[in-house]
Amino acid sequence: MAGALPELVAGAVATILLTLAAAVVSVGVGILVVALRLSGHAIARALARVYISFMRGTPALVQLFLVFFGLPALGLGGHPFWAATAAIGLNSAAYVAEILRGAIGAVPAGQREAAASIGLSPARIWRRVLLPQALAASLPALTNEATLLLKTTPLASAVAVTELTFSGQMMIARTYQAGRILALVSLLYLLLSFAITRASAALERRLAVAGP
Amino acid sequence: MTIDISPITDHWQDLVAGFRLTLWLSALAWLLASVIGIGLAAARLCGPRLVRQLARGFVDVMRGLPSLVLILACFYLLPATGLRLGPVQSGLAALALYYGAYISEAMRGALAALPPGQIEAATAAGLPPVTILRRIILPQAIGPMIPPLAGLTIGLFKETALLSTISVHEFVFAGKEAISDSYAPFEIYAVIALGYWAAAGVIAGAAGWIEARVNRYRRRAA
Repeated sequence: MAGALPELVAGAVATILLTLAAAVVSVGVGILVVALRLSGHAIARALARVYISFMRGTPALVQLFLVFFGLPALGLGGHPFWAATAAIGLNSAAYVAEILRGAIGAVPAGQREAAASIGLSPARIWRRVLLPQALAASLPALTNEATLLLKTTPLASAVAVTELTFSGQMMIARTYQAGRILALVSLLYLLLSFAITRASAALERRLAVAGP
Repeated sequence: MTIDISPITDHWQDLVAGFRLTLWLSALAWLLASVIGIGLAAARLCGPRLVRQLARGFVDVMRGLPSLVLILACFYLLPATGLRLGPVQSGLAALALYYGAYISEAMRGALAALPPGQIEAATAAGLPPVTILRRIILPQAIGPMIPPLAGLTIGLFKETALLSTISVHEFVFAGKEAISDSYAPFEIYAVIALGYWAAAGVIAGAAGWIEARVNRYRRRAA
């Protein structure tokens, strides 16, 4: 068991990288989807609605397999890590879009009207007025989503990405020490979730000081 | 990419059988999780101090762990305790424990949102505790409980897909077998996704209907 921890820590590092990469996809695509969802075009709104409904109505594991087996057909190489990043990020983006939709709806209408009356373009209103306030207001919900994202990353083990769960499974297959290995794996996940919650509490305090 | 439907028609029966097992597993796990959730919520709201803390610790651990890790833990460790559990039973236990913790949180949230004056007034009016629960607490708390519980029900339904990793012959597992035979992964997973999507839509629709029904009294009262 002496060699167990370094191997699991290497897996945990891969889990952290996967979580961060997927979070970037998630927030980026989430902002795009919410912009479509709230846009003036009926077709854009319908597309966003179908996207959100599909991502929330089907298992993330099936979405991962669709991306993993679908990317090569589109001419993109099916590298497991990037397929998992894309799938987990795209899944989380639907939830992020819904969180942001609520937060943008809660920005007082006067903000948008004032920005429009001083002649800001719609794109600038989004970028400078609506999004910053919506992102700050939805920080607790986004943190919660980040821990959910972390807890989705073990799915990557299904396409043989050597993250924390997959490292654990390989070690169990080799050593038959399921109890101890799973205890260590669980402990590492609990530490990572705890770190996300703490980091966001710190971020929230900072934004609260800087904010109005 | 050309779409050929023969891989799906060839394995239609297996896929339908897998989907049926997914529905059964979801229903059973949901029932077990609800019982565990009610127990945990009761323990956290009115248990003695030690029980309250134990329930809270359990919920916190469940919420910090990925469900796949819990499924693997139940799969590897429950049989080692001497219980004769196959993958189906281990998987059901894992999902029930995991979602039981989340369901208890949804219930606790709705109960905690109730103004304390409601219970105080009912107690002052001399209502017995059972009547307070049945006539005062539950009618007001059930409405706000439905949306989070509906979300958890859909989550549980989707999460049964993870049981394919411990070789439970549910929908995704049936898909994997069909793929190993036909090698048409994209087509088969697309059909599987549509199956889940449709069923999730039915669950969401049913939840909306139930929510409208349990909130009817609000319109009458207004």
